[in-house]
Amino acid sequence: MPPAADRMAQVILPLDAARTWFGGREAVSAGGDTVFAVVRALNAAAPGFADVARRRYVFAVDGVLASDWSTPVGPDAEVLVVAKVAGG
Amino acid sequence: MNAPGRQDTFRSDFRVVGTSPVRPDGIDKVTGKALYGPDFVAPGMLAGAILRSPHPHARIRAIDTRAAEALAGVKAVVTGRDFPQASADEIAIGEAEGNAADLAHNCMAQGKVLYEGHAVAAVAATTREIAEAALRLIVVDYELLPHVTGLEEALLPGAPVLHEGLLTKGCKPAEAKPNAAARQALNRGDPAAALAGAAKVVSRRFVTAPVHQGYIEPHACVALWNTDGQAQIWASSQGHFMIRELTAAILQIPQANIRVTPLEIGGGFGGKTKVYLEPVAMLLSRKAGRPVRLTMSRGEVFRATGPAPGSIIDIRLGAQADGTLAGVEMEFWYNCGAFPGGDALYGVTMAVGHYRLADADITGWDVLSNMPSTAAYRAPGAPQTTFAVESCIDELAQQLGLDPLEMRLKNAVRQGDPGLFGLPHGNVGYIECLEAAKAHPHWTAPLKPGEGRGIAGGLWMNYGGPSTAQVSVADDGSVLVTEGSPDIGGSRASMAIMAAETLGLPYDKVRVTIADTSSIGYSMVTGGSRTTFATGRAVIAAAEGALAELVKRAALIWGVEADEVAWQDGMARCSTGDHAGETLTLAAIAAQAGVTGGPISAEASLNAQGWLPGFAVHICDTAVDTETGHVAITRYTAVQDVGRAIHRDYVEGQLQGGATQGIGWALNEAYLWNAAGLMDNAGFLDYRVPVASDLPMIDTVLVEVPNPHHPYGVKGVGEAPIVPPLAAVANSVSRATGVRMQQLPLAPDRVFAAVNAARG
Amino acid sequence: MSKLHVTTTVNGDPAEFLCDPGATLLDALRGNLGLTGTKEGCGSGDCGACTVVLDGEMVCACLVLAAEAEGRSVRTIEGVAEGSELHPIQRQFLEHAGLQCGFCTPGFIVAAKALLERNPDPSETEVRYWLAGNLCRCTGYDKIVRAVMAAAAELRQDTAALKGVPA
Repeated sequence: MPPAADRMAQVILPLDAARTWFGGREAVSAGGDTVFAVVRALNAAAPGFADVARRRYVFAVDGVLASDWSTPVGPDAEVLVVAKVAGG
Repeated sequence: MNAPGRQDTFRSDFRVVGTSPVRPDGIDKVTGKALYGPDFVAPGMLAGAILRSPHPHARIRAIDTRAAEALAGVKAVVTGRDFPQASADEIAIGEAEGNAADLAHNCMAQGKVLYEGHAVAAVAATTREIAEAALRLIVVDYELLPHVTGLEEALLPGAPVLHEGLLTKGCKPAEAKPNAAARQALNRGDPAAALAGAAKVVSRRFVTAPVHQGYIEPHACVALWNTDGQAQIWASSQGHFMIRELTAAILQIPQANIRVTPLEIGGGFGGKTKVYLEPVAMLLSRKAGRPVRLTMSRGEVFRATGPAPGSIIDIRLGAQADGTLAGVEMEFWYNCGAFPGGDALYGVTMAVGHYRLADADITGWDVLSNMPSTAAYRAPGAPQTTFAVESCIDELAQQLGLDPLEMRLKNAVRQGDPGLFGLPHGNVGYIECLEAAKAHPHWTAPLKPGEGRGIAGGLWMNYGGPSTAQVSVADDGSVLVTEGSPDIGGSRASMAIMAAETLGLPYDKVRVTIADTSSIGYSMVTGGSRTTFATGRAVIAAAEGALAELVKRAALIWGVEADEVAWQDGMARCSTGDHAGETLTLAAIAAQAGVTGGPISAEASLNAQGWLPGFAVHICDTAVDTETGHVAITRYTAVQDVGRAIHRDYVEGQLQGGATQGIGWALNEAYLWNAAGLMDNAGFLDYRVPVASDLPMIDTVLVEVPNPHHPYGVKGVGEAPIVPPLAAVANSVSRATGVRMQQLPLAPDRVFAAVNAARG
Repeated sequence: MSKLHVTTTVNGDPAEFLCDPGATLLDALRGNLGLTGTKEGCGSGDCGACTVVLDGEMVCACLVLAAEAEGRSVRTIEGVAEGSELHPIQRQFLEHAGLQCGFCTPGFIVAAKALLERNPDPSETEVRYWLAGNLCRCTGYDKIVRAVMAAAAELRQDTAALKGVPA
């Protein structure tokens, strides 16, 4: 985890990301005031995560899907990481 | 039908939205003038043909193409060696991801052939006959390997392994199995405890066969790749930008070097979201210096393109005496064919997504085998697990003496309930669908002796994602919409409707063009039920941009501020000053564009979020002939929350077509492999899709619970209708015969055997 | 391989082409004559996308040798409209949204026309069985059947029946 920040978001990960990148932990804390910053913090803990996240996941901040990563993340926000899936 | 209590929060005073005008591409399509994939001709075009493996699994020791190359008229020969060596790293493909090495290997075998029909070599020649003669001169030295096409067999220790060293995604090493490409899981609550406390538990195994999308147009393309690196491709697909990005990734060339022109598409249903021919045609063209056409035969389509996975599903589902669902445990296996990537994630996600079920443990596996690499098929992965869940609910209702519709109502998700990925559900309409089904005369109509009635629900999550559109105003005031989403079922009409609604114009004042990849910005594939939602939002945003510009120009003409001009009835209206009350038509404003700042045009590129899932409830009546085992569909009703129907007829058409494909899946369709690993029914005679005489009219009910994240409330409709039919048909047959059957298709021999076994 | 010279009539006009002895009528129409409205969906007579009328008989062009057209009359989708005037079946396909992707549509329209020339007042069941050799994967046939019934009613100029056709 990155150095303690005064704003920590609670990040809820899907099972595959938790297992592959975060030792099975499905909830981790990450500091940052935008999704960009949160992903940077996650990437510091799990190098390479950001690149995969860009391709594979979308992020929801407090229950709302973020259309881009400049979306603000408030103090104590919940960031839900969701598999990007489309269909036929 | 409008959802009670919801309309007051959402506009419904539409002029054009919800009507059913004739589609703009209609005349070309009823007169035979529309150009589809196999119809396009380029000057100097060569005919290509592909040599395909006759073996399901073999190592290629050597390929000798010398005799083929020497044949008069042959201009180019290509094998796997002509493909650039791709790294196995995952690459971003639009909104998805993939592996360029796998994609290339699926287009043409490199080292090993992994299924019957896997491309091995290709020839371009002056005529198709010469190309085919050249294929017969190619000598491939195969080392035959043991094969596996069965789902259970593929997982057994010692099974033939398709990809040595492959790691099972989503697994600890100890859980990995041979040929298991990925494990997907959903765990919440304590299902073991919930099931232990349930009044009734059913424990069943369900089996479904691989099925093909069955679009009538075979894959086809023409490619021209010049020595300066620039290329053109003409092809039908669900996304010409998809063709560009995948072909560029496989051939390792810049995307901007490839201009893909979309031809009309003759059906896709998810099966045309991948490339098969385009990179091969490109390589042939590069060698030959001329455009090359590749076209598949129907046999090639069956053997080498995307079936949907077959499945084995073990399920334990419990309920309390009052019908409240109490715990589910599921483990299932989908065969994903020759390459990783598959539908297990969707199967996990959709299985019980339409119910409040706090205790669930669902695990799905994608399993490799020597069959073609699967492709999306209309709500990929959802019909199979939904078949299992909806069959068990029906059985529980029967055992508990409950009405199967009421039992579903009791458990249905509502707005605010936890959604598919943990986000709370938005404005969802499953309850409204069930209520509409209950109110439909079909639900209470008397049955004839020997008939049964089945009901099933289901959902598809739908999607949004990136799209681009441009709206420009010609100087006579007519309007052009340019976008990049192939029209697979009338979307030009819905785009014109949405632009016309936004601008306050009649439908036929707006013309829609689907531009090539070099003429408009990126749009993701027509898939995921996303086009009317996401590309629609881009069209509306571009129309709003053009409208803002029109208002600004009117203000300039009147010498007032833009906020003193209102847009009403397709005209600008001045609200102040000397010109108060005056109007300017769109044509009048457009005529002065040259003296008010130049052309009037706006573009919108966006990444549409806020899609909402679509829920469906189907009611099916069947009559079963116990002498022959034949199942006749005697009545069928499809109810769906569509958000808002933009073009009513084409929305109904999606429901009817999806239901019919589901009926085929339930009753007839199946890939049949023989012991040698070869497909026994690679044609429409033996792979039997529903025909007109198999079916009654398919009644539809469009429930409209609007999506607040689309200006007109769209949710997306194309995929959800294939989710309920498997169980709706099977539940109906079981009620007609008194015998529950867990294996699809419910072909006459299987039904006959089950009914007669039950009679003893 | 020496080519055969075939002289025939297509949509009322004289036509001629050279073909291999093994070439199908479908190959000749689409390749030699550039009439790509007739579609190939299977090449084995199972899907009906290549339905044409040969001397008044409905056939799958993929099952007829090109050489068999010698001295005979072929009618294709391109000959259904009278110049720029759509045939009522074509118009009703548009009005009833009887097509989604449109690939099977030419075959359905040619087949439906052949039906209505024989039976101007078919029942729904008769329409369904006549069209059972034409596959459509998009529509579930509902709107196709309605379009054909509506066209039949229009062709009969039977206003009472027209009102009876479900919307």
